[in-house]
Amino acid sequence: MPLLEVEDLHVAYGELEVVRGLSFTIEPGEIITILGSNGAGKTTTLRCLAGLLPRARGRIEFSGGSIADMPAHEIADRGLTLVPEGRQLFPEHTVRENLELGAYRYLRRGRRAEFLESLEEVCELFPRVRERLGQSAGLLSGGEQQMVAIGRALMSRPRLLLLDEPSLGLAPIVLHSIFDAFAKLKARGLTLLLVEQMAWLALESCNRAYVLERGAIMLSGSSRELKSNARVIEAYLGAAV
Amino acid sequence: MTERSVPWLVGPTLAALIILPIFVQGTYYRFLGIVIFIYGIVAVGLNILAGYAGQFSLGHAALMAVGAYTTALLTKALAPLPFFAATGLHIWFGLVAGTLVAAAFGALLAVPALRVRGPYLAMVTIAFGWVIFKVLQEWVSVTGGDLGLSSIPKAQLGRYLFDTGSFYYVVLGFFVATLMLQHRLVNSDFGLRIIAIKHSEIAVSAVGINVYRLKVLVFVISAAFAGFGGTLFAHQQNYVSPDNFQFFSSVFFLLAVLFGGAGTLMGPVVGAAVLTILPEILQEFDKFRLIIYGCFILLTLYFLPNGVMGLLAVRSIRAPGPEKGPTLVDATSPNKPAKIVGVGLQLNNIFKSFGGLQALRDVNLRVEPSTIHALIGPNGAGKTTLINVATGFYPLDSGEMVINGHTTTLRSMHDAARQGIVRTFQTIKLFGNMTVLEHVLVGCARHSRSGYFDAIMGRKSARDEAARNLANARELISFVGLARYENVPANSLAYGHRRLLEIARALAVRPQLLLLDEPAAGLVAEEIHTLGRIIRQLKASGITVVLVEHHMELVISISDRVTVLDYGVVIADGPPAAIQRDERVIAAYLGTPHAAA
Repeated sequence: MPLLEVEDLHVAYGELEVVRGLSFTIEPGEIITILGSNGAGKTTTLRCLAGLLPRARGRIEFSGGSIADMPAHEIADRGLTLVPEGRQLFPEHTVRENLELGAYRYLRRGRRAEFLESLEEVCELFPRVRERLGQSAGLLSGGEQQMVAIGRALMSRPRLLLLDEPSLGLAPIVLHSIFDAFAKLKARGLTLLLVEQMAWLALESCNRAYVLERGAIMLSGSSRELKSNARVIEAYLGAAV
Repeated sequence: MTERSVPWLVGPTLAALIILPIFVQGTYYRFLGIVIFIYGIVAVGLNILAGYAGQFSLGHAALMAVGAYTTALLTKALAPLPFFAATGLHIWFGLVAGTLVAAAFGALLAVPALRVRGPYLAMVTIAFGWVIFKVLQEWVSVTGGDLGLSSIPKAQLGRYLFDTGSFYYVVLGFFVATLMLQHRLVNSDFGLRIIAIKHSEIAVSAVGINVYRLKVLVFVISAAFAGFGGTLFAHQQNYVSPDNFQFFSSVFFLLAVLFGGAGTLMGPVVGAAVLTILPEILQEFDKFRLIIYGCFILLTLYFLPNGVMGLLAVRSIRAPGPEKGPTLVDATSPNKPAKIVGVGLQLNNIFKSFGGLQALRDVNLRVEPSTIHALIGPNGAGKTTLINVATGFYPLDSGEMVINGHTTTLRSMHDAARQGIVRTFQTIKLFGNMTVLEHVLVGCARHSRSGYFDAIMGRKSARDEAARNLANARELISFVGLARYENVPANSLAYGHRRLLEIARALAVRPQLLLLDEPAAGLVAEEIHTLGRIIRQLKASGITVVLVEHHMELVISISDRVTVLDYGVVIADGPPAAIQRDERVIAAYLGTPHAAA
């Protein structure tokens, strides 16, 4: 049974329908990439799945139950967590406090052991984060901030992690450590849905990918198939300029 | 920002306000009307300041007091003179003088107060209101102290003395004029700019507008409205005392704006009317009156957070226009900017630190005119700081900036923009829900020759200019490939499109040196390809481009020269091919080459 099943999803801002009849599935343990140009509806899709935008219509089933129209915090409770575009850390708070806020939902019920376990997992995944635990998040470099943003999402112990443009604004040298982490997370049994403009990197690290154009799936297939697809090469992989 | 459903209501409402009083006995309703119009005028002034420009004042009752006392003192002194007794001109002098003196007080308050923002500005205006109130109470010889000033002359024209019945029509006339003035103001360049200020002062400054001066101007205009309302108030009541202008009155005006709908044309009027009429209706509830009043306001604001008119003014998000094929720009496009003399920039021995953090250490950068110069380096290397320094956003700790061979000190970003140095922002700074077109028009406004006054008067020169700016803005929008999004609010654009919009807005300022901070972030390969062509075309038109970017394929393919920063120090500088092979750059920034194309 798929972990996430989206069928005929429509999302609109006022009259402007951005997602128009989107259908796709994610199996447990997969890394899925969504490719698409600006305005195709990628971020809108992720925000709708995470409960931050209402759907106009359509079905969203997550691990066997509908999560459509559910408030964002309940969706997070069920194990679907979004790493938002542009990281959105709490810059004045320390890295550790940012991570604690990711664990807020269960930490306030006193589940300290789970928190420490998750914290250890995050620090193992990103050793840089461990070094920076006591520092203000706002003072970290872009790459470190992205690690903390992913770490904060992981602290909620999700089963499905949605990542919106994790490579945004990062220097080439730190990209690999971010993408290497995705493979490790997959090995731990986590499922990932990745929206990414660095198409090469994304297709290298995922199992399957969907190409989103004008709010609907235009193309789908294994990452190997897509890497050799003419349209994908032209629009998303082609050497710049 | 127009409330489209409102205009057809204006005619009938105005007709009713003119005709109905004729059939109503007694002066009560006319009196109520006068009060609403006067409060409406003050609220409109506050709406321009708070609703449109986003600067909150809790001192408007004091500015109203300044207007009221000015005209009271002046007209009382002039009334006995035979000339004025015969012509009634003292009243009209009083209206003008009260308005001007209130505007002057507004300037006096704004010049220091607008150095601070948000809650601090509100605090300063509260203190101002308090000072005025105390002066009115204590300066007995002039203001009459707590007893106030009585027997203020009635409004008079020739030998005709206005009573409540006829004064109603005078105030109605002024009220309608006020609304028309507000309409003209907010639909001019001035309106676009002040709305933009509410969303991002930094971005307004970046297109070459002196934000502080503009804010002071808005405050002065707003104070003039308040003062004018005060003068009408004085001649209606024929009596003023400090009690009329207490702190609560200032709160009342702000409440009227918020309740009616801040930043809407008719909101302040609706607010002033409802909040004035409601206590009258509630008279019979006696001691529960204020409780009901308070609860009503609370509930309305809870359910209509944008106010009554805000509900109507919600901008319907219009779908983008038809897709115009691939939005690639043809190299032969007629849209490319006219010939521009690119600026050469030289930074010598630049130092900049924040607290203990040395962000730039002895940085030297030489950017040749009409070239594309890339600036790369790891996150946190100081690239954005360098842009901030080069555009006057940060002062230098030490070092020298040379523009076209002249040593220059930039005092602010708008100063830089005026010298042809314009930038975009890594953390995108757009003007909220203003449309794509409005964004670019704010940039165009920088070059308008006609003043605000011409626009308000609807002069032909101003209209021609507006038409030119509109055409220019549309060209720039299609130049970056956003033509189909022209009427879409910026906050519903996709991330990468926001970056392109920043470029279009910057181009509207007609830069000679354009600094782009990560323009390709959030773009897919095809879009980066387009971006590369846009940047090359800018260079071809003469503009010097400084490019901060992580997307190496773009950097390598379009740059004439690349400078690499690491920990605030230049570690390499040269043509792109050499930089790609530089050991230090590979170690610090590029990492081992990936499978990427």
